[in-house]
Amino acid sequence: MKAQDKEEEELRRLLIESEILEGTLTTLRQRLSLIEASITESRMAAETLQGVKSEKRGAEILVPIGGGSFVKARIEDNERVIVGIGADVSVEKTIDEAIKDFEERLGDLEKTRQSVEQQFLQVSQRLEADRERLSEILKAREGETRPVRTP
Amino acid sequence: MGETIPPALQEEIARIQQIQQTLQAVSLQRQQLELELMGIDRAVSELDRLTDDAIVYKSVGSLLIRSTRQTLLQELRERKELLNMRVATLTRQEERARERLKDSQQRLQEKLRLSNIAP
Repeated sequence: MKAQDKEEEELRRLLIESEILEGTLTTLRQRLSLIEASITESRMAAETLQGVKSEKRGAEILVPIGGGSFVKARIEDNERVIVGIGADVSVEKTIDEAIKDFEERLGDLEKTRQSVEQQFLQVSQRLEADRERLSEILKAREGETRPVRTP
Repeated sequence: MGETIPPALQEEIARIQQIQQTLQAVSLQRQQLELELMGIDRAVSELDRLTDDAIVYKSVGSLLIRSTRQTLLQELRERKELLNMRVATLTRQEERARERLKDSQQRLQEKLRLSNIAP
């Protein structure tokens, strides 16, 4: 009876824990996709800055305005650009400074991505172990009830 | 087992669910404000490294409007103060909701115990 109670308790704990772990995995997955979007954006910005830097002043460019449409423009300044620093504030920097900033940002994002991926792996492994233990308990139960049923 | 849940228990369970929802909403709001605060800190430390003649802009809708480093630092400080106050209020609300949740859970457990003893 005591052992049965203990098993019941473990079963309940495993069920609750699996549910929590699944929730954590969903959150981590969302965080990963946000980080990946930021990485793509920062890479794109750094690449654009490299491109602008290599162009001459007055070069004709097309500025995207959405909907696959563009407005014709010319590069007036190929040395300084405006970079957002968060909290609705932007600062004028040299292109080299801006590129360096984006590279640093990319480095930080990569580190965060690795740590989130590591967490994801740990939680997945824990969830897998819980599921295995759950099916073990359920199988053992089936084994216990079978002889009772057969006369 | 299998019988309907007594109304008093149902009421307590509904109360617990409601408090849990409130708690979730409040803590989400607090987390968002804390993220905004982190953004402000980052911007302030970046502005701190610049000199007063730096060219800076402020986002207004889809426009960037030219401003000065001092004005922006002042604005950020004010926003930070306001956000800190709101975070403190939300933290208090969260604590209160947690206490109510604990009380409600204890009441539910007591009611469950009594209904088990009852024939």
